[in-house]
Amino acid sequence: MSYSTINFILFVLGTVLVYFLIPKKARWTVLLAASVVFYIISGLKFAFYILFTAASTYLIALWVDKLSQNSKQVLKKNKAEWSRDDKKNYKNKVKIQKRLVMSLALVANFGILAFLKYYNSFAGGANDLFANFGWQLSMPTLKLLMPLGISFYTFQSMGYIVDVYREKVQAQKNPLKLLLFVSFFPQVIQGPISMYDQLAKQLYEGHDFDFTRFKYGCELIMWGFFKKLVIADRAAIAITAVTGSYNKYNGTTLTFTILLYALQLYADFSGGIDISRGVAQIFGINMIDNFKRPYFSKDINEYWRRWHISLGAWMKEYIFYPVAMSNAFITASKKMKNTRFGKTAAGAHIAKVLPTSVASLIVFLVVGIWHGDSWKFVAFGAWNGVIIMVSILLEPVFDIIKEKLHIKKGNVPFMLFQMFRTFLIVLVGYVFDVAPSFKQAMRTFWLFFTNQSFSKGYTQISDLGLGKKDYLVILLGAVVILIASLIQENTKDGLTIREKLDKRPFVLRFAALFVLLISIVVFGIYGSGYDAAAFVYAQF
Amino acid sequence: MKAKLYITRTIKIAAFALLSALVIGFLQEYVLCHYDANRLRMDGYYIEDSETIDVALIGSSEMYSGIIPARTYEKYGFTCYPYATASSTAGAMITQIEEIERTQHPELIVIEINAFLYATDNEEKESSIRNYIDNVPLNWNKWQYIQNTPAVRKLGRREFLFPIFKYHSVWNDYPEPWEMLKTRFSQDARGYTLLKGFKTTAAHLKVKEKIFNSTAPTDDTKNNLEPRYEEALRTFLQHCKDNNISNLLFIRAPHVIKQETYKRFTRGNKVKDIIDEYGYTYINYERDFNMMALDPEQYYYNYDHFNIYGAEKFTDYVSEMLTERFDIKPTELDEKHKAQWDEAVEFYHKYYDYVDNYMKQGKKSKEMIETNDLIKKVNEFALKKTS
Repeated sequence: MSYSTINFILFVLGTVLVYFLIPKKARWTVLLAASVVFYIISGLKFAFYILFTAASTYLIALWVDKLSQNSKQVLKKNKAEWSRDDKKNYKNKVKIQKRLVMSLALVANFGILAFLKYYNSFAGGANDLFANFGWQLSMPTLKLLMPLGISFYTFQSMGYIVDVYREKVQAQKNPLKLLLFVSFFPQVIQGPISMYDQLAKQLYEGHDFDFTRFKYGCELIMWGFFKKLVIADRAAIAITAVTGSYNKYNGTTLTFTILLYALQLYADFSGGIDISRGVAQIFGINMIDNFKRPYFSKDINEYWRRWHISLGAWMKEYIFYPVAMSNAFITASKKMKNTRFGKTAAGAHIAKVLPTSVASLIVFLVVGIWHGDSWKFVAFGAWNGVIIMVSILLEPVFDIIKEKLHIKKGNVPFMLFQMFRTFLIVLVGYVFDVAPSFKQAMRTFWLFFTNQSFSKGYTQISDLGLGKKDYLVILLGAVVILIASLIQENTKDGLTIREKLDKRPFVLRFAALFVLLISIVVFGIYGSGYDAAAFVYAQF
Repeated sequence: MKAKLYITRTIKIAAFALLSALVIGFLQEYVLCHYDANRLRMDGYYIEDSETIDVALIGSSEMYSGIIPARTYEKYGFTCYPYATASSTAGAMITQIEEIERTQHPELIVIEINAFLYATDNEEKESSIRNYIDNVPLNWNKWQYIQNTPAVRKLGRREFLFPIFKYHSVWNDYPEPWEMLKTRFSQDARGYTLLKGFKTTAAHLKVKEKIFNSTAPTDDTKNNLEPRYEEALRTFLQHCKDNNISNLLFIRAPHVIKQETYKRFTRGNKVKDIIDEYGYTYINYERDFNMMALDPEQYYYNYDHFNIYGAEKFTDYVSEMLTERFDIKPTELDEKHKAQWDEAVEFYHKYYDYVDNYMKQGKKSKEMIETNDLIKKVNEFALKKTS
């Protein structure tokens, strides 16, 4: 059941009704039942995977938690007798035990994810290799299907286990409550990836019905539907046409497609997240926002703090910091500092930022690989990682240039230039997303410079399954998003657009919502006349 | 204070919901729907005042291109209306009868049996299903049809109950449907149509293959109906019998029979046996082809449909039979309805002249649907002719 369907709306309405009708204490069970039903409706055969993740997460977290609690008791008990070294040795021993136990869950769950995502590619590659060596070996390829939202619930669950390991949170004793945290239906398809301490309490405590929250939730859902159905799914028709026969198109059409993809991806993903957050908000649950107007970013680092925020936060918390703060990296940094090069200004800077920049590169390689089992995704990750790494390493150089050019902080033309530059860097990354392979992505870059023909491009763009009126709808939709984003970006009172709208006269509010609703009904891509696109990020 | 807040809130929500429903309903009914002659004809039927139709005609294209309501009224005194859509399905027949009974209570319901003679699976064809049911206003009969028709279930019932799910993308076709939309508004505002659902195509058939009409009157060859259609026919007949619907006449309109459609003709012969079993009357006009002196190239625009000359001939032939054999006694119309039908007769004559002139000029085949644009052209032509 996709979020952008009438069935989902009816499902949510039913759940909301039951949720607020039963006693407050038991309301979390309604969310659990709805999440289980939602997952079963969406694909019963995949239920095993999520149950395995929930069960393994539950048991391992309890085990890790028990080790932590026991060690505390032992330390307390032997506080007087044990020397500092004894305590240190004991703590290290427990830490290793906890790590080993935690690794069981990490290996099993990430193993399943990796197996489902990469096995067939790996088998294909291995078979090619065997053939090159003339070996009579062959790895079978399997019919593997990705369970709904596996990446998102796996990341969320593993984050929880690491948090228990770090003693940031206590393990959940109730397996059903943990199952709810893993499978909460508004976020199971495409996130956001929530941290346990941010989400769990909200899920388990019953919330009273609040009309304002209900209204804001509905408005956010409508906004999400507008972005998804009117813009993203319409743009998807043209993009699918291009990716279906990629070699046919010239540089102009491909440039247009990449620009359209930037809009589609944002409208699709952020639209889906708005629907998720809107639904959660009706239940009184605030999920983190996954987007903060990313195309206004002035550098790529900022872009990744504004785009898919929950994934960025997860990566930072569970990969970036452990890598950057690891003994090996800190030692390497210190060693560099003590070399002759490290004594120079440039050397000192590089030594200081080396752990951060290399950790960033590693994070983005992981992000790239997470996107899919193709070299093009590795290149996507590497491109972003290298740009971030270089920008960190060359930061002093950029500062000097800015100083020489007398560019002050807050200079509007320069900020616009920065935004444009960052957007271009992002678009380069998107080429790897859109192109069917790494080789095709490289060819696309070549065509950008060598095969631009506006007349041919115009003919090709007119033949992508969308008429002029469709492109006009996309353009107007993009303008609406831009205006909304500008208002939100420049807000000084910290209010959301919905809160601002709430302060306006009733007629204006009424008209705005009415126009939004009618736009979705009339211009939305839904029903049998269209083959609505699945959410782009649901595939990851 | 709290009560006041709740009341205000409820009123606001209700106002929003009501306005949204009204606007979406209006868009669904008028703007974002599939416009063609079927829609205008069916809309025309539903805007006719109740108890003003003497004979209702059920069936497919044979009915609305073969029988001219204005002519039956002018020459034979009874009113009729083709409650018919292109390639109508057998599964829709019960609903059609119930809709007619709900809206008009005619003296006689004439049923053309084309829907039962298919060799292909017309019941599963979305266009055939939608030609009819999309144009029926939402009511209990339509609801029942949507719930009980397997093909509809397969296609998705929601899109039949709320056609906007299917047709909302029609905005992209504008301004093309604009003419039909204006016509719809006009006929709704007027409260009746001028051609009463009749539609012709201005063309002459060119016979290019062997035809079997000369031997048809004596050809008693019978072929079984496809099992699903025989079952549908029997279900329909049983339904009519169980519900004491006796004012039925089954007919088969005359076609130009070629090799490809010969089997269909033989199935038409077989239908008689089945209908007889249930005690209803069946007249196979395919067998009266020679008696009607139908020259295919003169009276048909294609192998299955009359042109306007053929329609006049067939209308007269059927009407005479209805008045003589079935003793149709026209309802006495009040002044208002009499004036409407008189206007229909007057317009039909102008329409005939316009179509006749068009055909005599030897122009290419053209559908003559009652749109505002055509009404204007017909009136202008009539004015020019008289002046």
